[in-house]
Amino acid sequence: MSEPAPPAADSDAQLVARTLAGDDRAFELLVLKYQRRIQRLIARMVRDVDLVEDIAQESFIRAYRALHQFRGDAQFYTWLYRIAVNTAKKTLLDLKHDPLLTEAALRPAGDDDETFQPGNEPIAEETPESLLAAREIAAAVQAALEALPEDLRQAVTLREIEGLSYEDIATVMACPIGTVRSRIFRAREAISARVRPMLDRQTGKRW
Amino acid sequence: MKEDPKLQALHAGELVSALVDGELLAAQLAQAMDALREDPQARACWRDYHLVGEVLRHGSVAALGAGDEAFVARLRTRLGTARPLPAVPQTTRLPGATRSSANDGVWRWKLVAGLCSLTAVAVLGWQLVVLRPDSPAPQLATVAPVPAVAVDPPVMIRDPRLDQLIAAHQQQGGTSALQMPAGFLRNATFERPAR
Repeated sequence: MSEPAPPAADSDAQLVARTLAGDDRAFELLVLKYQRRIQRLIARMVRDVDLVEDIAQESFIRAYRALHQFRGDAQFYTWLYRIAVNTAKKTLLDLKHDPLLTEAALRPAGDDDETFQPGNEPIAEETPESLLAAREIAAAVQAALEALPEDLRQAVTLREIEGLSYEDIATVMACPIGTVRSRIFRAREAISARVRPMLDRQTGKRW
Repeated sequence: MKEDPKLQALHAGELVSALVDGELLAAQLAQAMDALREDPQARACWRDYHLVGEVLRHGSVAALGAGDEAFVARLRTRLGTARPLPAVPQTTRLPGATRSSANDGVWRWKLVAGLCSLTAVAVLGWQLVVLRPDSPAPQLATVAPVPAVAVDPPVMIRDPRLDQLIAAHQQQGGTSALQMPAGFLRNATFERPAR
């Protein structure tokens, strides 16, 4: 597999703009998109599962409050990442001064790299069941990808793995942009249909 | 005529998919946001598509928490009380655009800054003119020199007999005969070399 390409940040900018214009649902979409990454980041710094969620909540609230300061110079996740790390560090500092909550909640914060990718190390929020479910979902996604018709698989691979724009994919596949958009959507739907029952089982009723 | 719900869902899903990729036009963005606001299925698509992308890019997915929905609901409640965002009109900055400084709209700052600069330049210019090397030296207050006058030693004119009397008394008493007795002066004398 080639080097993973970062997802487009344009949708983030659009959602930030919508939030600043007063559409709070747009910010919820950003939360949904980045919640697990942020929680995973914090879980590498803090052992306490409850604390992880609290810090994640606080991070998103701080981001929301400071959203008008987001300049768009960096990607939204980079900006959010900094807020989450600072929030976690501040919480850890506060805990050090609290005699009731001491070493148990602390963990050396060595993985401050925002380019960190999900790996196999166990983190606070993971249980054997959730790890197993995550592996099952990953396997199901790969299986669904393999089962896709060639044009759909190529379209979604060029988009998700190679990070090409719709325009570039249209050039590569020699088809209109509208067709690219439709193919990527159908590919995603086909893959999601395979994993959706697992997600519902894992997370309960959603929405 | 109303659109078939299935077609509607398909259309909404395609919009959400394009939004995930940041490939929506402004007009379509509004449609997608409407769908995401009203259609729970569209919101589920939003999350699932991101998750599928994460697996495809990284080969794995961060473990799923059981409380994703609860997390968002809790955050929604807290955000409802937070209300931090200033009323930002539709002048929301786009990425790459330059941000104007906070006091751009306050002309008084510009006026004051301009006046200060003008004053500083005027003061510096005046100093340069006044202290220029080829300019005449500034006139300081001077005192006209007083011409030296040869002064002869003063001549005391007195009776020579008085001098004799003083000399005689000096030989006898060693102290000035003219000295008045003073209680607070014990050793003060007017010694004068004998002539």
